[in-house]
Amino acid sequence: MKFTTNSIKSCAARIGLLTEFERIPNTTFETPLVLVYTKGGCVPHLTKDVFKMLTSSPQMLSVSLSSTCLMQETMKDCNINFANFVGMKEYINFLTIHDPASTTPSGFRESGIIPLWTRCGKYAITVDKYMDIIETFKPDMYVALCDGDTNIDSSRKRISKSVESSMTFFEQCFIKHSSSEVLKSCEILGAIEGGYNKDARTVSINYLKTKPLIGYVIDGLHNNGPHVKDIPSKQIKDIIEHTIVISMGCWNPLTVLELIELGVDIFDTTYPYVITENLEALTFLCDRDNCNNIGHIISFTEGRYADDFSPICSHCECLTCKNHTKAYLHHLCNVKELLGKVLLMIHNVHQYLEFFKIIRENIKRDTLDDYKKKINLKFKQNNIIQAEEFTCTKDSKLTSL
Amino acid sequence: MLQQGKSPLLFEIFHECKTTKARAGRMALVHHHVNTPVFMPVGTQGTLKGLLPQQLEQLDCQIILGNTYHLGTRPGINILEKAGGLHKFMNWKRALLTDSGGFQMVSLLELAKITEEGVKFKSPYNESDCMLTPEHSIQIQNIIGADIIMQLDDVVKTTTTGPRVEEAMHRTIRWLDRCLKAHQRLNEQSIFPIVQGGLDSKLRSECANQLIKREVNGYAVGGLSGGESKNDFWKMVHLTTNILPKNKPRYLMGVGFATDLIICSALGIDMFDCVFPTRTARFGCALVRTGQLNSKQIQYRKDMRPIDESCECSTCKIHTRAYLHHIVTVETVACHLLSVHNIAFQMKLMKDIRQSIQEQRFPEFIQQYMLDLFPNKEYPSWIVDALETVNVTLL
Repeated sequence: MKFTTNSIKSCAARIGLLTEFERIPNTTFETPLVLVYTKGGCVPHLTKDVFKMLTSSPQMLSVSLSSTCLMQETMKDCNINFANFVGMKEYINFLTIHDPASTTPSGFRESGIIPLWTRCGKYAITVDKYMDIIETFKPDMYVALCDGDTNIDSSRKRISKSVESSMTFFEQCFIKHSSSEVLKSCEILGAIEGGYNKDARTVSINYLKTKPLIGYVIDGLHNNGPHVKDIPSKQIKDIIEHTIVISMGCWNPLTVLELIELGVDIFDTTYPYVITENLEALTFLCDRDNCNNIGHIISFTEGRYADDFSPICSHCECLTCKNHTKAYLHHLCNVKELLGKVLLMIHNVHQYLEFFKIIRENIKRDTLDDYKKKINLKFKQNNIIQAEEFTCTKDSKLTSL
Repeated sequence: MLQQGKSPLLFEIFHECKTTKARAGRMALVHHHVNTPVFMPVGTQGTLKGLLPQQLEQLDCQIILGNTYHLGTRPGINILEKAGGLHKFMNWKRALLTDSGGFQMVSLLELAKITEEGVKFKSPYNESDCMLTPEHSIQIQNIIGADIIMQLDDVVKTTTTGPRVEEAMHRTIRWLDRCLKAHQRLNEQSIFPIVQGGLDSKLRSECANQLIKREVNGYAVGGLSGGESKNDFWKMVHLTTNILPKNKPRYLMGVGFATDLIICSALGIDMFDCVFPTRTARFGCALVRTGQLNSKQIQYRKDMRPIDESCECSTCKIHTRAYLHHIVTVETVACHLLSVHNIAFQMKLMKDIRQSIQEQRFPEFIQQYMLDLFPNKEYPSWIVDALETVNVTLL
C-alpha cells in the first residue's frame, strides 16, 4: 500500500492518493476519504446488493473489533479472513478497536489489557490476543493496540498514562507485526494519544515518528458514540508528511471540514449512521437557492411530513429521493418498519459520499473556505449555538498550532 | 352487474394437468400480469419487511398483499387518497391485492362484534365505537386502489361448529352483494367473493354455489388454515374447487407452507398468500426443501455452506450459514437477507410447480418432492389421501 500527497504545507487541507493495495492492487482512493462504517461485517440496514445500488464505486470499509471479535473463533477454525467471511472481499477494510458509533465505557483499566466491549460483555484484550485476532482477520489496515480512554475532561495523569501504555502496546504489536509472515500484506497504523494535552500528544507523535509507518490514527479525543457530533474540534496535530492521518468518530460535517483543514485525510460514515438511527435525514449538502430544506437535517418523528409527497431533497440523486416521498418515509418511521431505516441509510450515506467528493473538488480548486461558509449557513439555521462554538474553535486552532 | 370497458382481470389458462386438477395460467391485471399458480408475499403496512420494491422485482414478485385494516389506521385513508393510492404511496409498480380488513379486526381486536350491519369495534386509539360495514371496506379498498380487492366476510374461527357457522356463511353472501353494489372502480379493481362455511361440506357447497351466481372475476376460499386438521383442510379445498368455475382464478387465503402449496395447486388453486416466509425470517429461520433451517442454532456456527447450495438468491450466492449465524437477531441485515432467501424460495417453488404443469410432469414433480421430504416414505395420511383424489400415488 502506498500513500502520496502533493501537499508541501503541513496542517492544511490536502489531496492524497492511496494506491497499491496488496489484496486488490488496482484499487485507488483519493483523500480526503470517507470510510463506510460497518457493524458486524455489514453496512447497517443494507444488504450487499442494496449497498451496491447505493454506490458502484470501490469503497473502503471501517470495521470495529468490538462488533466482530465474536466471529474470530469461526474464522480461525475455518481458515478464512474477515473480508471473505462477511462476503465483502471486493472492499478494502480498516480494522479499529472500538465501535465509533457507540460510547465506549471509560475505566476498567488493568495493566497490559484493553477492555473490548462486545454485545456479550467485556473482553480483556492483551497484545498476544490482539495480534492473534489480527492474523485471523488479515485486515488491509489496522491500528496497533492502544489505550485511547481519554477525552476533553481527562486528567493530566490519565492522559500521560494513556500515552505511556499506548507506546508499550505499539512496541509489542510492531515487533509481532514485523515478524509475522501472514501480516506481510497488512498495514499497521499507530495511534496518536494524548487527549487534548499538547505536550502529551507531542510525546506520542515524536515516538511514532521514529517508526516506518504509512499512517496514524488520531485517538483519545473522545470515547466514541453519538455525542461526538456535538463536540467541536479542539485538537492539535502535527502533520507528518506523506503519511495518512485518520480520525474516526461521529464528527459533524462542520468539524470534519475543520479537521480536513488541519490535514486529516480519512474519516468514516458513523455520523450518517447515527443520524439514521435518530430517524433523521441529512439535508446540509444542497446549496441550491430553491432548496426547501433550510436546516442541516429533517426529522421523520415530526408529523408535518405525514402528507408531504416530495422527496427529502429534489436535487438529490440517491435511490431514496428518486423513488420515495417524505410522506412514505414518515409512515415507515411511524409504524417502525425496517424499510424506513434502509431508505434513510441509503440517503444519508449517499449524501456523505457526495460531501467528500465536493470537498475534494473544492480543495483542488482552492475554494474550500467558500464552501465551508456555505455549509455553515445550513447549520446555523438549526443550531446557532453550535455554529458559535465553531467560530471559537477556529481561533483556538491558531493559538494551538 | 354490467361491466363496462375492459375487464380489470383477464385470466387465461395455458396448461391443464392431465392427472390432477392443477392448471398453469396467467392473470392480466391493471398494473402487472401474474403467472399462476402464484404465491403472494404479504406487505402488511405498505412495505415488505425491509425490502426495496426493486429487490422484490428482482425476486420476480408480480403481486404482493396489503392489509386494509393496518393501512386504514396508519397512514390512514386521507393520506393514501392524497398520495393517489397505495401503488404510488409505496412506489410499487406491479400488482397489489388488499384484504377486507375484517379478519384482522376480529383477530387483533378483542372487542370486535359482528352484527348484520358490519363489524363493530372500539378504536384502538381513542376507544370510540367504530363500524366497518361491507360498503365502508370497499370504499377504503377503492381508495387504496389494489388490482384485486376482497369482500368483507363474516369470519368465524375455523374450528367453530354449530349454527354460528351457518349464520356466518349466509351473512357472507349478503355482504358480498352489498360489497358489489358499493364498488366504484369496476374497470380497475376486481372484487373476489370468499367461500365460507367452516368445515361443513354442505355449508361450503351451498356457499360456493351461491357465490358463483354473482358476476365476478375470481373467487377466494376463506376460513381455512386456522388450526383445523389437515384432513378437514384438504377436503374443503377439494370440494370448493370442484364447484368454482374453471375459467376464474381461485385464491386460497392464508396458506403458504411448501407442502400445502403443492397439494392445493394439485387441487386446483391458483393463488396463495401467507406471512410465514417473512415472519419466520425475522426469527432467523430460512426455508429449505426439507423444512426450515434455524440459523441461530449452534450447529451452523462454523458451517461454511450457503443456506441452500442450489438456491440462486443473492443471500445464498454471497453469505454462509456461519456468517448468518453470527449476525442473526443482532443486525437488521440478517433479517433482510433471510427475507430475500425465503421469498426466493417461495418464488422458485411456484415456478417449479408452473413449469412441471406446463411440461405435463406435475405428478412426477409431486412424487419426487414428497420422497425428498419423507425419504423413509412415512407419508402423512392426509397427503396420501389428498393426492389419491387427484390420481397421484406416491412412490
